[in-house]
Amino acid sequence: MLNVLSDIELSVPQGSFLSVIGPSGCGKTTLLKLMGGLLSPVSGEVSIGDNRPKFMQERKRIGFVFQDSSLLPWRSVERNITLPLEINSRGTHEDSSRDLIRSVGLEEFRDTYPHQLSGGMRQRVALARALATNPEVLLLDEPLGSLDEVTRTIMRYEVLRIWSDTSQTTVMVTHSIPEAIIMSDVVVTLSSRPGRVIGSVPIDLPRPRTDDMEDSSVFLKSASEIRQMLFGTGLRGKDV
Amino acid sequence: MSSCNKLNDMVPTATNTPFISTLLKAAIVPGVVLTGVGLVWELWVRLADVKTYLVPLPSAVVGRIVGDVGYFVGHGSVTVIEATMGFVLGAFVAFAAASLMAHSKSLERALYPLALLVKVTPVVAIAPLFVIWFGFGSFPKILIAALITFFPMLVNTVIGLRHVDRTALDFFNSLGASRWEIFIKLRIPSSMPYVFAAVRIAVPLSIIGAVVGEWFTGDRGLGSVIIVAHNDIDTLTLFAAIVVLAIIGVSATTLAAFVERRVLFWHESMVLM
Repeated sequence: MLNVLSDIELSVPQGSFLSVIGPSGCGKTTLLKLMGGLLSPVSGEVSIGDNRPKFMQERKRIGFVFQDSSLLPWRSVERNITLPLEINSRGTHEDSSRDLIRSVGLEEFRDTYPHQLSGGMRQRVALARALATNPEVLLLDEPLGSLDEVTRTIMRYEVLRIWSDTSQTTVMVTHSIPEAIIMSDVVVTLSSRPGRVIGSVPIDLPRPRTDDMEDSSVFLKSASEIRQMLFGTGLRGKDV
Repeated sequence: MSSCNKLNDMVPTATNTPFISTLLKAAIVPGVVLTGVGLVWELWVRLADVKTYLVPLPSAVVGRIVGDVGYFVGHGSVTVIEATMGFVLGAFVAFAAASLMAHSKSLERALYPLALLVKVTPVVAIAPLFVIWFGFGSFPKILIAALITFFPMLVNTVIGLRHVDRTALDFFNSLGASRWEIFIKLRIPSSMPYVFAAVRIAVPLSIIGAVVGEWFTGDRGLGSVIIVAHNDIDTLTLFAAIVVLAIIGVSATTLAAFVERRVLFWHESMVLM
């Protein structure tokens, strides 16, 4: 057995946006799968409110977005978004798909297929699909990781705009320090394998977040704090 | 599919072209080549003074078919029906077996040697036995066509049902989907590219199966036409039957490709076309 994570002590306040950042292979995705009930912890426990992730999963109270959108290519945009409503009829849900297609800006594209969409649009569909059952918890696994820098920056604020309407308790895994800061209430840093929590940095920026905040002193201070946690003080190019 | 119409406005895919025009478009170049081959053949037989009871004139072969259309259509449709029913039966049993095998490794270990045995035994060797067992009707021929269809369909369907996008599977599980829901909504659609790759192989095989079956019970079908013509050293009828079989084979393959394009419009192999 592989010891991927150890001594993880983490709590996410309801309705807040928490990001997890750390080197590749530090178990970020494993952590997210534990929270989503896709994996069970060998020791320790995960709870959402008073319930186990498995319980929440069976009631469709968890929404997942993955790095590659994992949309079903044979389904149209609309039918991808409504997929969560079709499966697991034991789980309760509200049908918020109609509003979602509008709020992610894909009304004209409801009848198109994933292969006809750009990467950014596919991730919008994936986000709408994750929110279709109006879940209590939103888990984002590097949701913008496969996008180019320009699209990625725009999408950060798009995701925040959509999220602000519903304010799910959200955990996002990311590789990008600026992304973690501008989107989150708290950024948690993980060390490499086995992943341990190094520390957490509260982000003192007001909402709604705007892109000029990326130049603010709060942003720069948080970024330097996170870098300190991840790299120490030792990063330096060779002297000429 | 109404959604396909809108699709075509945006991306030029070949999904919406009607079957007949697909067939015509696909037939132009091969038609020209075939006519050329026929012309060379005709000239060769005439100029080199080849004995026509060995190699008949292409014009005579065409004349033989056109002059006796009812005869060839009658026997041809018997072969087509047997091959089609055999294909459907073989594909159906293969899909059922594949569904079981895809869900359980131990079941796969139990069934796979049996399936392999079916594959490695030449159908020609089994055909006479089937005729003894099941008599002279269409049934033994359907069975032979089914048997020859079975293996490629089975192998590819098992692979297809297993080969599912991991993240999509995670997504289904994150919503508490049942195994049945995952099977219907994820595994079956994901398997379609593999299934159709097998269909391409199995369709011509099923025609071979039907013809081989007909060899052993010479009353109906193009296989029996071939055997009777062979016994009479009637090369002209033999060639005519071969040509009709070739036409059937090409049409069946084109139909399969057409259905494939309709079903797999979303797959990368189609999008790039």
